[in-house]
Amino acid sequence: MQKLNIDEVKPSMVLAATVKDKDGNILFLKGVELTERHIIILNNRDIKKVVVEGCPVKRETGADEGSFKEIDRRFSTAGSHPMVLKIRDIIKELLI
Amino acid sequence: MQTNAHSSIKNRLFNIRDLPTIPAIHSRILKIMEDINYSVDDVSKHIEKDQVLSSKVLKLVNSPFYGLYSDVATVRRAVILLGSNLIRGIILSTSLFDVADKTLPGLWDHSYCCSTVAGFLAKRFNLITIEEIMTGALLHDIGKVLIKKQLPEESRKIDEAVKSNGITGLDAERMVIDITHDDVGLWLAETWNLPGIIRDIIAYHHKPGMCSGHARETAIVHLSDIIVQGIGIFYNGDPFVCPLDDAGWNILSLSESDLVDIIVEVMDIIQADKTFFRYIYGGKDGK
Repeated sequence: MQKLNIDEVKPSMVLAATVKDKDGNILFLKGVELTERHIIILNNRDIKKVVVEGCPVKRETGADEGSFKEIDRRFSTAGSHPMVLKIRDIIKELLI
Repeated sequence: MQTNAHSSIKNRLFNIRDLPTIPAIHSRILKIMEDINYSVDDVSKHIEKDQVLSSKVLKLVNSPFYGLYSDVATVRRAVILLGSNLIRGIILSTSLFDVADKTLPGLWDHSYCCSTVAGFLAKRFNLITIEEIMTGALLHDIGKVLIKKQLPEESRKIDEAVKSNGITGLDAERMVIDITHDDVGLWLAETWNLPGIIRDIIAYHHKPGMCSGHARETAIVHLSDIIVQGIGIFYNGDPFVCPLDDAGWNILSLSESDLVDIIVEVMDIIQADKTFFRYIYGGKDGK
């Protein structure tokens, strides 16, 4: 899962989170494979960022090892409930 | 811990004469709001006299989480939109957190963020108790303020225990004073005669599964607390995330996929709120 700026979004990427417009109306559900047409609509609706499956864009900057370690350290006391580990991983992935 | 030492700690904590004082203007407003038919004009007029209070009321109503109400510029309109419970919560927390801002840096931001995230979740679950949930979230850690104020020496030891043992504040409190901020907060909520739902949220925010009253509302604040702490918005002295309560999680019956949507949306909104810039873009963990 990776959060992308709209100009980084390319056809065939798959949405990992539901996209809503400013008023909270659902535009596209997660799991949708994006086409050129979808991307035009996203731009027209002034959507700035979307979350897609995988990690299709390699970045120079973004979250460094340090911030991942900080997150791991924060969650070191959170026990082993699968959902709390899931929360940790989602937060990490959204920072990449 | 010896019983004597423990009862002395309790005596010092729960000494009603030493309770944090609520400024005269705040208690005046609370008094007016006790009347169910209170006048919005009257309340707004008093809030406007207090700059800190006015700015907090306007900030909360204009929070991106509210979405609906863009650009609320007057206190009067904010009082109508936020409702009496939330206004009471803001007044009480402002009175207390003003003392705490210096001694517990980050705690107000953490509480404000929890309140907005809990409001967002309450909306998602279509709960009509959204106002009470947001108020409870705003006040959930109020016990920490009392511990800091009444037991400064022990409080320092609690922070040290967190740091040197890598344990949560909750465990450190148990270790050092054998009483935790949720119990302390409940006592404060009872003393102030806060509504039952807010008492439940304060008392059970670390163990919503044990709550026999407003378990769903409490579980929402529990989850908000974990997400907000995990993202990095917390009291500087305690960065650690508390365990997720399995029974509490089950009450919410969320799927893994719901969780992704929720956290994506929460992070979007947090990143759009100037208050949290320093936590997310500033130094690590807002220090």
